[in-house]
Amino acid sequence: MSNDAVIRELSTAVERDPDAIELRLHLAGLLADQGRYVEALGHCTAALNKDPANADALALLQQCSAALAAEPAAAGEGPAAPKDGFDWSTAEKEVSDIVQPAFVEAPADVVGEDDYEVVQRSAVRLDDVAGMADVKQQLELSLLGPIRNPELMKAFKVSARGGLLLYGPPGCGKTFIAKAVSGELGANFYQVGIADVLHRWLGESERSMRAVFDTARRNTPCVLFFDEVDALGHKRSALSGNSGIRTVVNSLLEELDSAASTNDGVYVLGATNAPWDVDAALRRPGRFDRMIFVGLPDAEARTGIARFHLQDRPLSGIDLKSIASRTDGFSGADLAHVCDTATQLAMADSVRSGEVRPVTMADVDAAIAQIRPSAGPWFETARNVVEFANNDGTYDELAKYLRRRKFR
Amino acid sequence: MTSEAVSHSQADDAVHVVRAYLETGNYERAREVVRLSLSQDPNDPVLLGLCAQAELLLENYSSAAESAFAALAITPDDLLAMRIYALALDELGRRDEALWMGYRTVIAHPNEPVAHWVYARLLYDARALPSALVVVQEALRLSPTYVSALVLRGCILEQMGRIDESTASYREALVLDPDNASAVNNIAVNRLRRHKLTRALDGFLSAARLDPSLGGKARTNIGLVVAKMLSRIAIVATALGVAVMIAGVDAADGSPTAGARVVTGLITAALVAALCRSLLSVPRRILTSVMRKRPGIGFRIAHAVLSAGIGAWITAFGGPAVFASVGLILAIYSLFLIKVDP
Repeated sequence: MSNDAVIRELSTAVERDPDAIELRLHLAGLLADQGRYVEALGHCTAALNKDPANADALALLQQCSAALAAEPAAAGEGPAAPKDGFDWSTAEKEVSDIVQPAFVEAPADVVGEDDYEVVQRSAVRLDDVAGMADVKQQLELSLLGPIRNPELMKAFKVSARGGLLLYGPPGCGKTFIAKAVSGELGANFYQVGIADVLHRWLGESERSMRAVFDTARRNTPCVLFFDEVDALGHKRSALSGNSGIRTVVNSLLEELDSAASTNDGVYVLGATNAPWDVDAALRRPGRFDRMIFVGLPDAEARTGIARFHLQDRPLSGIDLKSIASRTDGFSGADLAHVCDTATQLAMADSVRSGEVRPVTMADVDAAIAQIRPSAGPWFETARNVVEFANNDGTYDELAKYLRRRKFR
Repeated sequence: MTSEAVSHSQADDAVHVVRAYLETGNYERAREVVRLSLSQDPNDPVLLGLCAQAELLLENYSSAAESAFAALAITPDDLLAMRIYALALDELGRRDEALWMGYRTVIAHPNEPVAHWVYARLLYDARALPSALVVVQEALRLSPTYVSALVLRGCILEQMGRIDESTASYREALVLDPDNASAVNNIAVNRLRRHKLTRALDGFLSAARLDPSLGGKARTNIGLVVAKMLSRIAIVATALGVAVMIAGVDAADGSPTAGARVVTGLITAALVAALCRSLLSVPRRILTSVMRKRPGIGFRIAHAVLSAGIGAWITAFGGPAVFASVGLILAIYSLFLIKVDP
């Protein structure tokens, strides 16, 4: 039997028994294989109406949406003729005046000739970080205040040496905060990850680390931001020595010392999800000697994050306060996922009905019901650290947070 | 440089970064990077092996087995893919296939200690302890400073009831790697078996401090130690109940109670001392967390405190006749607590 005949038979069967989800998804799969994505999408949406958590339906929905989004680009020569009753061009025109450009970028400032790829100017300020008043206050007290008041530092005989380590559960905006610090200081922002430093040839990683600091020194004032410090500065006692990380940790220690003592204008920031895995030597005075806990976003922050992720999309009747109140325990990344899922549901519904409709609270409600907070395992480990490995009080701030949020 | 050479160079760089992520315990990122590289080069056996390793460490055993199998289809004798495949099959409950794969790994790589270690671990999981011991000894013959093999040998010996040899093996591991949390934890388990409760408690606390991921296990073990300590206190409470009962009977008969009160006082002092020693040996925050996990411990502490209170009352004021019944109830309840696991 040819595929068309099978599809015809399956369509008839689905019409006879609209509740047969497996059958409907099989039909949708065959339609997608034949490139009939719009029809497939309709079946996926119908299946999702019956069973919103059906993983196969969601996967197929994503596949079809992606294929439909790619179709105009793949076609290359002008828009394709609308198929099967849904007019994409008209739909685009309908939403064109309410959809804002997705991303805007400030014009790049001039930086060193060789560093244009790595060093950026950050336009983000701390005011752009919604909520998180505690974190902002600590940043002000421990870093920004002293740097902005050099006379005061001189009077108290305090230097701005040493780095600041931001730690907390994943997806809670540590990198964004580091960019905001850079914006506040009017400094260049230089983000470094393990892939930028680690090389397979002997001595090359150390050379890279030195080059990173040299670049930062050339572009002062500069916020040098080390992402995933737990990887770049892992406990040396736990390293076997095969991957070459040990030498990277050694050179990072060396460079941090020299950056602190001989170079003004290089502000070293780090971020990690696992500060307990960071080598103790890296947390000594003059290195990452201050730590700030960046916890889950508070209600105000969640409102801001939801607004940010929904702002470029067609919306109707979205109650941000309600979203914030019902997403306690969600990280920023979880909230972004909620917004994406709600948008996908609205889009799938638009495709199914042939009529474009904006994202509504019903879509957001459905998305919140589907998504679970992802920071749970992190807090499990954090609880163990606070209970068993906090004899020196390093994680008192985290302990207070866990008690406040009743994780303990 | 040709495009093929550039592609190989990029894959090599990715392999290096993935290995670094794996070594530093950042398995999620390792998987992300290796998947990205695999999308460029889906048939690279090294990348497939590393993908399998990341999946295994993330406890996605089915995906790990699939990736390792794909790697073995290209390079059938690849050591990493072979051992990951064997371990993944074992975790999936396909023990016979896992053992066969482990055996094949040893045959293909007879001079690799890690191959012997994997096979020994599979035999240990299959409770074939004498064979596991022989294989792990071979791993240690090839590499006497192989810490994981020393720890595994300790586990095997412990299961064989050779506790002293097991502890000695863990100690050897600790000489080479003083921060090995598994060895510290397992020595504490051996101490617990020998009823050295305070030292076992110290070991569990140290193990959890060295590796916070052992926190859940440590909490369970500490709960067990505290429960054993409180069981000993319940024995003292039984004796106290009898003494209280005698004092109560003496009081009812109008006989002098001085002797019974002195004995009650001594037992009460012993009970208070044992209770304080037990409770002070566990940090308060950990005790709270353990009590949340094992509510029976809370009841036992309350029972000990109540017993001490009754004992103190009898010692100070003698007792009315009703204390004969109180003592009897206390003794019976204490005996019940000795028998029942909290």
